[in-house]
Amino acid sequence: MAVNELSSVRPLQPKSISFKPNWLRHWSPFQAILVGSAVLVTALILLVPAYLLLRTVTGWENAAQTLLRLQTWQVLGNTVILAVSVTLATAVLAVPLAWLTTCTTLPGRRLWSILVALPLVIPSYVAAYLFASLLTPKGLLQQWLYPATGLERLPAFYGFPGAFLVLTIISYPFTYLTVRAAFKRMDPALTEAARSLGVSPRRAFFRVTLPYLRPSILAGSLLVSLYVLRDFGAVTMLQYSTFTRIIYNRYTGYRLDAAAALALVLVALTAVILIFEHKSRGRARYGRTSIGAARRQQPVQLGKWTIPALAFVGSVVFVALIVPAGGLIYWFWRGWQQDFGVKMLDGASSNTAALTSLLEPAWHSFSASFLGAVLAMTLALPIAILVVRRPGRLSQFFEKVTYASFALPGIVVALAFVFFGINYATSFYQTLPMLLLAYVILFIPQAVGAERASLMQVSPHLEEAGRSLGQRPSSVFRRITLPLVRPGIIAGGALVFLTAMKELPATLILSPLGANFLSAQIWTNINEAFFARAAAPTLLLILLSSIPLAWMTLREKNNGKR
Amino acid sequence: MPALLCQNLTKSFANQPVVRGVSFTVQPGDILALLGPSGCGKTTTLRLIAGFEQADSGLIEIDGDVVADGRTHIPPEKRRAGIVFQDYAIFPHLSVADNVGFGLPRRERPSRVAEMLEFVGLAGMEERMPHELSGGQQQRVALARALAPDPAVLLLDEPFSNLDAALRLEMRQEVRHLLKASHTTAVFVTHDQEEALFMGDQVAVMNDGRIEQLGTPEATFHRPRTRFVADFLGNTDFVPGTVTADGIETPLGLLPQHPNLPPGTAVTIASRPDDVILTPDEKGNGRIVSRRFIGIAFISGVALADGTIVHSWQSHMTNLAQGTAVHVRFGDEHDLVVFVGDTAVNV
Repeated sequence: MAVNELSSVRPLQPKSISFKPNWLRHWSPFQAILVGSAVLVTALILLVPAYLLLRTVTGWENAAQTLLRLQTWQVLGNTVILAVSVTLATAVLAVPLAWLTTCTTLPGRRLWSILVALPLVIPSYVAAYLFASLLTPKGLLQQWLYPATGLERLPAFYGFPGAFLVLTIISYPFTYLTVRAAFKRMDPALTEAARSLGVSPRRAFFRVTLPYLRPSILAGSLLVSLYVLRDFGAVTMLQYSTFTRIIYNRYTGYRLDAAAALALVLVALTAVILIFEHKSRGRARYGRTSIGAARRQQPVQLGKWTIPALAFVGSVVFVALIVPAGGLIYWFWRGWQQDFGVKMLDGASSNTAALTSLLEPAWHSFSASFLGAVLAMTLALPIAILVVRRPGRLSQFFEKVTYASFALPGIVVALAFVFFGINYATSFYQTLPMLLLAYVILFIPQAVGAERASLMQVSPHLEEAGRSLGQRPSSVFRRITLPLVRPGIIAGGALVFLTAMKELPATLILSPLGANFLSAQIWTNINEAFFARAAAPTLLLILLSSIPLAWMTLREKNNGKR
Repeated sequence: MPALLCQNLTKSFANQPVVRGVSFTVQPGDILALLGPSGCGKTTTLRLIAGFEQADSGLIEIDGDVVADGRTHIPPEKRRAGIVFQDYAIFPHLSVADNVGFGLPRRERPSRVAEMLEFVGLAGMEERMPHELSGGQQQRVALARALAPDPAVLLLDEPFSNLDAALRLEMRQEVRHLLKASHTTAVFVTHDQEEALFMGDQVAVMNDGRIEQLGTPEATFHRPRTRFVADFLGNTDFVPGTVTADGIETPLGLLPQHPNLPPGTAVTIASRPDDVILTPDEKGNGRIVSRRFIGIAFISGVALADGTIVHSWQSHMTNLAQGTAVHVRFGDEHDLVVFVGDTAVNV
């Protein structure tokens, strides 16, 4: 190889010596911006419980009355019973589903694994109305069964049975996805070691596989229980009195002190779950202990169990996906025949006019969710950078506060904003910025989580190399870090967007005056049992909210080989 | 004026001192190898120079400019200290040319990048992406990138440990050649003694946050001043001995050396495999207890009557079975290093 003498010897840049006060020595201007932004976001989050607390304390008499009423304790009981039963049911469904679609010779398991996870995109209130229209005592199922069986009415659906069924069906994918990930990570050597120690396959499953899965089952279950506690749409639609429903009732009845007190109890309840989740996470990571790449697992031969397994997976997909989708199409078709009840949709006189009138709420939903996702991802980034790159007490505090905002259900955040808006910021109340800030609080844990994960993939050496090549921290961020984490940020943003599109209580309460949103429109229609009218906006909502995810999945496939 | 000066550097993490009073200078164009076991503070020292960590106390001057003292901490981007990492840290989203040109003003990029790629032997690879490069090529890119802005000092953190053995030898020679050709002042961190002895104009052996010995590779190898240095720089056995009027009495017989010590002083003698001569002998003073074949030679472990084990090396044609009774003695080609406690007394 030819080696030339290097020609130029040239100073890199003028050298300057700066003297900063001691406490600023570690902080470049870039970092000061990060910390400043993180402080603002955490303050915004902390404002919610602080305001509820203030409200409860100042309206102490009303609050105390509310808290001491028997009804409050019944609501607490309802909430806990629903959370526990749904969580158990989802675990029972999810573990065999995850095993069948990951570790066995189930025919078409790749397709099944996608179908089984799909119910996640159905908003809870949509699932609620679709199942309610089908399964209420005089619902569609009864009407279809009546000619053949003479069945007068089905058992009661509203209340606990409906809430239980609907929430189980749309939240089991949480556990399914975490358990499936654990199955995929699992080193086959674990069970092989057990087998070589003379344990039968069945006993190996119970003695090795199941204990190995416990953390992921727990993690998924905690997500499910948080989902149930935060859910507003399904329980309200199905008239099962949990906290979210009662808080909303108090709010619409202008009993704000009572609403605030109940909201505090709900926050406390979610906080308990969250603390439990946090503790379990510490121990939950059973990494592979061996070095070297894990071998691919040998799929378990299902043999004569293939048919029962297919029947099981198929019936879950049927109930959780085909039935809601079918119901949606059915109601859409009914609506189409009746011109979507033209009177309801701003005097639209035909199907095309009715559908055109959906463009406005669709645009509002889309733009607010898009801006909300962008804002959440942007405001989450400084926190994620501090957590990953500058670990310390301050960063830990930021991380904990953002994580804790998981304990703030949409209805609670909305309520706090209403109080705040009415009392201190009337001009701000019911404007788009206020809704967007509520979205930020609701979705920031998700956003920080996604960004933290992709930042951890970027070796700090890359940034240090950039610094040593004469670039300031902000320039290193722009030229190295940002391009590398962009795919992760976009993916996280797409999920936030999807969640924001589905979000109901905050949108319902805080949506800007005069602006109609798809979720709110669906909600109004289903509350008056105009299922046919709800179908078109529902289809549009699901379609719009899935666009970014679908686009990403396609891109991922194309870039897969990189 | 030295190109790099470090004086009494200290650094603790969570009250755990990692660097405790490290001082050295590197003259322009010289290569200093920082050698030591993992956890000895060598990488932290490197990061203090680069400016990624802030020293608790001590002075760092690069090219005569103070970049760190008790009050000053010049950020890394203003230090003119280039770095090559163990994992190369090639920016994965940028082409070879963009990587090498990263630290250059836009105007100068094309010509300087071409010059640097020519220099490291990667001419014509401008448009390649990092994942299309072999390990050795990535290393060259990292080197070209760090050298492109003409740093005052180049820092290399275990740069060869990710390469396989054959490539490692090749890259060692090549990198040394390139550094010399570009008159680059460099600090080089490694835990591999052979690498340090080959690469360094000076070798600093670090242990527990301190430099135990600093000198030329030859001096450091031949005249270790502490037991740690002797131990770390080559498979050293420590043989007990007692000073007598005639020399030093050892389990291998009398060593005709006369350290300036009163008779009866207990000493330790550093013995490397090439210092011990071994002959098969039924009535010998030792017995072969282990054999290691390293290709060009056998290294035999010999147990002596008092339990001391010394190693001795023979040509690869001399194959003595384990259990063979042998006679071992010290060779007389050069004086051996004698320690009292941990400190050498005759270097």
